[in-house]
Amino acid sequence: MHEDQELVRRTLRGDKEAFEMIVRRYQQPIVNYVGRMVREREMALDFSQEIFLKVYASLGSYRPRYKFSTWLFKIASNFMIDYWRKKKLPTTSLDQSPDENDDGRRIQVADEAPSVGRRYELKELRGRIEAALDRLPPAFRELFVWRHVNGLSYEEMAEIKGLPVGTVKNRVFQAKEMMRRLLEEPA
Amino acid sequence: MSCLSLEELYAYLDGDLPSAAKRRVEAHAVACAECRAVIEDRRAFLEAASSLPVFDVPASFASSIAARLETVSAPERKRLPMWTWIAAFASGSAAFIATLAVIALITGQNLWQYLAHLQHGLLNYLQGAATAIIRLLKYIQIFLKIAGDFGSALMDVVKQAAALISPPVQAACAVSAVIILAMGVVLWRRRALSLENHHDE
Repeated sequence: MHEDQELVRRTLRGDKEAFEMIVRRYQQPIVNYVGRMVREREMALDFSQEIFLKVYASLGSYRPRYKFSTWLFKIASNFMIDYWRKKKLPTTSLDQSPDENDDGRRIQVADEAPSVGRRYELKELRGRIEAALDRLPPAFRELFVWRHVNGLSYEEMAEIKGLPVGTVKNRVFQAKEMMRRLLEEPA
Repeated sequence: MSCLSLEELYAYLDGDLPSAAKRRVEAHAVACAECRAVIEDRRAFLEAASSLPVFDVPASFASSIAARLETVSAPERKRLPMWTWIAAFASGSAAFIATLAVIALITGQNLWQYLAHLQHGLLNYLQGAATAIIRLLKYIQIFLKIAGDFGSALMDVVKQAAALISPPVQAACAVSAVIILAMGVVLWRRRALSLENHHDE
């Protein structure tokens, strides 16, 4: 974190190599995030480039009291929201439950069925998870990817989205159960 | 014993449960085959999700962004525009006047009389502060005079002592003093560096 602040300070003084170092530090998590959102490598690389250029242009408004990675993911998330809006893709607000009739609290998967870990080989299971991710509403997909692909903490996700930690935990829980149900459906 | 809720189960798999709740989940899982199966199912699902293959990033990715930085205006530390300072000053002044008006209304005093009273109090305060500063400056002047006298007396003693010591001993003393000073600087620098490293960790 301390190193990030130093690289930001150097970039603001005109050191472009410092910004290249920032890109090297965060290129993999950002490409993974964008890639899981759009599911296409070339598009993910193009979008990630645009995100880093936006980060560079906005670096003057970054405040060192915030974690740099959180600020970076916030810019990436806004970029993706703009993309979905332009594409007019259906999005589900995080403020609305995806299934109002389902409280999502009770154990629901048929207990007679063997665990997904026993039913599928790991490779097949990953393929099914990728296909299920594609069918998840973007707002829930984003939280699922942040938590289980990028490994962000609930606190970081709450800060990025400007939501209470409890709300984020609840939405991640819903995303996981939606995903788990989608695994049962034919791809 | 009632079965686990899915939220509880995910919190357990997330490592997000306090130790007492974690022990309760584990004890229940030993006794309940149904919950044990669901835990195994969700664990396999989340482990597979957390190990999805990463997207391959070309080695030239960062340098190609660096090459495009010329096309983007260089970032600058954002400063507050002048109008925000003017607005802050204006709203502060308005709030001050409004507060005075409210006080005058409550106390029944004439606002101008109240301001004159306030001004009188402020002048008294400034007068007191100026007297204190002048007194402080006088003390500093006395201290500097004493320090100067002490310094010149010390120099006289050194000169007289130097006259009694032979030139080779004087040279040896001077060299020792330089070595001690240099060692002090080196030790101070090493300590500063070790503190810096500790801070970085």
